[in-house]
Amino acid sequence: MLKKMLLITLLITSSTVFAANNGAKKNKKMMTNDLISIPFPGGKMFKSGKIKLSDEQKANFATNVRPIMHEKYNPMVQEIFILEKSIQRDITKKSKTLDDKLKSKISKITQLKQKAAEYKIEAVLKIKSILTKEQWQVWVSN
Amino acid sequence: MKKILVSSLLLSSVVFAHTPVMYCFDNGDKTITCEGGFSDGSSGAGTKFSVKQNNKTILEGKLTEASDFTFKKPTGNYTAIFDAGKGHVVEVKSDKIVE
Repeated sequence: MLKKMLLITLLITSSTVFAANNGAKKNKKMMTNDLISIPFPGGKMFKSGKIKLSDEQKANFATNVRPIMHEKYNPMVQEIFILEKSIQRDITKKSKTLDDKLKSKISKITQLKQKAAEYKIEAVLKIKSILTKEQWQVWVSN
Repeated sequence: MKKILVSSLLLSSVVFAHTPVMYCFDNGDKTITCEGGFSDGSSGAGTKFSVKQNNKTILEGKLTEASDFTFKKPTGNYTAIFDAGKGHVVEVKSDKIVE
């Protein structure tokens, strides 16, 4: 009886963990955080049809928002990501003390994250100016 | 039809929910491993990956289920490329790839 219960518990636990992992499908190793949390639900709002853009709004996004995110913000996040990975690798493989090289990498990340946050805020404000009041409310509530 | 195509293209240009990222390191055994994905933790599994040298593609493939790709270290300078579509391409030059 006890064996049976244990088996059922194990099966339920393992399947729950699997379901949780499968549902999330997130790889923590690849995550890079912004300096501050900025609401940015992104393209899913349009893909899902929650916000329907007019052709003029779409053109506005392409001209005013996309260049900020794709050409300025994205490369900066990549640079931050490489620096973060490099620090993590230094700590786990090479570093014995918090030396100047490590400190300099941390400083660089701080500077880059500040600039990236500025770009993201700039993009969000552009989005605010493109969307109608109703669309904006949908955007910020997601 | 044309309108639908233009609208679809414009809509695709506003899709920027996550940022592509890639990190490559030298394994010290004459192989290089690159891990690619998205900054929100989304997997890069199945994403196009290539290595270029002197503007010539010397290797092409897709990231594994673990979102990585290991290849023989080329001689000389090269660039590893993670290509998740327009506006979502990341390049890592060999001088940034260390052990």
